[in-house]
Amino acid sequence: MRTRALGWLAGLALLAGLAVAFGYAPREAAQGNVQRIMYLHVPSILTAYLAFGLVLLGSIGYLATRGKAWDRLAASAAELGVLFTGVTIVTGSIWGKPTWGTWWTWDARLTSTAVLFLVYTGYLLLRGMVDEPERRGRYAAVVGIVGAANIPIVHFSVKWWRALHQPSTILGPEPSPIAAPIATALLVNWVAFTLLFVYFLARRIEIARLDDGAVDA
Amino acid sequence: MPDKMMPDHWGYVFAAYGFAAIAFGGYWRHLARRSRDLLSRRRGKEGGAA
Repeated sequence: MRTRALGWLAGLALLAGLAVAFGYAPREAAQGNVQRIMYLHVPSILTAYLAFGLVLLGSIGYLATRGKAWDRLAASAAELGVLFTGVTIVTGSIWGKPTWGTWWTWDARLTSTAVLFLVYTGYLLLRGMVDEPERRGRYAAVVGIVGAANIPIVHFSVKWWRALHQPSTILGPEPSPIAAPIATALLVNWVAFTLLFVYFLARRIEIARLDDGAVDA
Repeated sequence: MPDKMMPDHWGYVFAAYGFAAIAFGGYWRHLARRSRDLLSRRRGKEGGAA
């Protein structure tokens, strides 16, 4: 029941996000309306960071306690992290074509994000390949911890290397140069994506519990 | 203001939002189906045991 309410809340927040992205945020001065893809692209990767942070937490928790709940958290968050990273890559590629003139380039940010996607896709494949739950949890936890090292590489890649991708305009060391209406639209969409993530995570963990036969445990 | 503004490229905007809608909607449907299957299997087991 609480999960369903969370779903409705996420749905309403996504509608509010669409309304501010198309109705409130202004047409960007240089890029025009194609910049509105940012309200999808940036919240997606921030949500993916959150997901992979939870994979790290769940993995450490599992190795420390061998508690199944930690493993379920890590596995569920990894699946969602792959989903949100996939959305980031595809929407970024669609945004890149009209602004950079190419769907893809081996730029540091794009490449490190692709590596992030592949590492956690590998994590999910590994989970599918090991049948014994304790061994599966242990192996996956190691990948979950090692894979998290890529998160700061993705985020700081635009600072560490010369990149076509623009530097961080939020979560950067300097105050954000974004105009207030654009920042507001970004914030609303970020909150909406976070709610959607929490809703999906709650449902995915519930499925993992049913799968483990641990509903009554 | 920049000298030259890019054309609108609404097609790319709708493609990006359309893709995200399909990805999230598809995942939501996947979760709903999986949850329904597991619950009905569990009820079947409970019914069989009774």
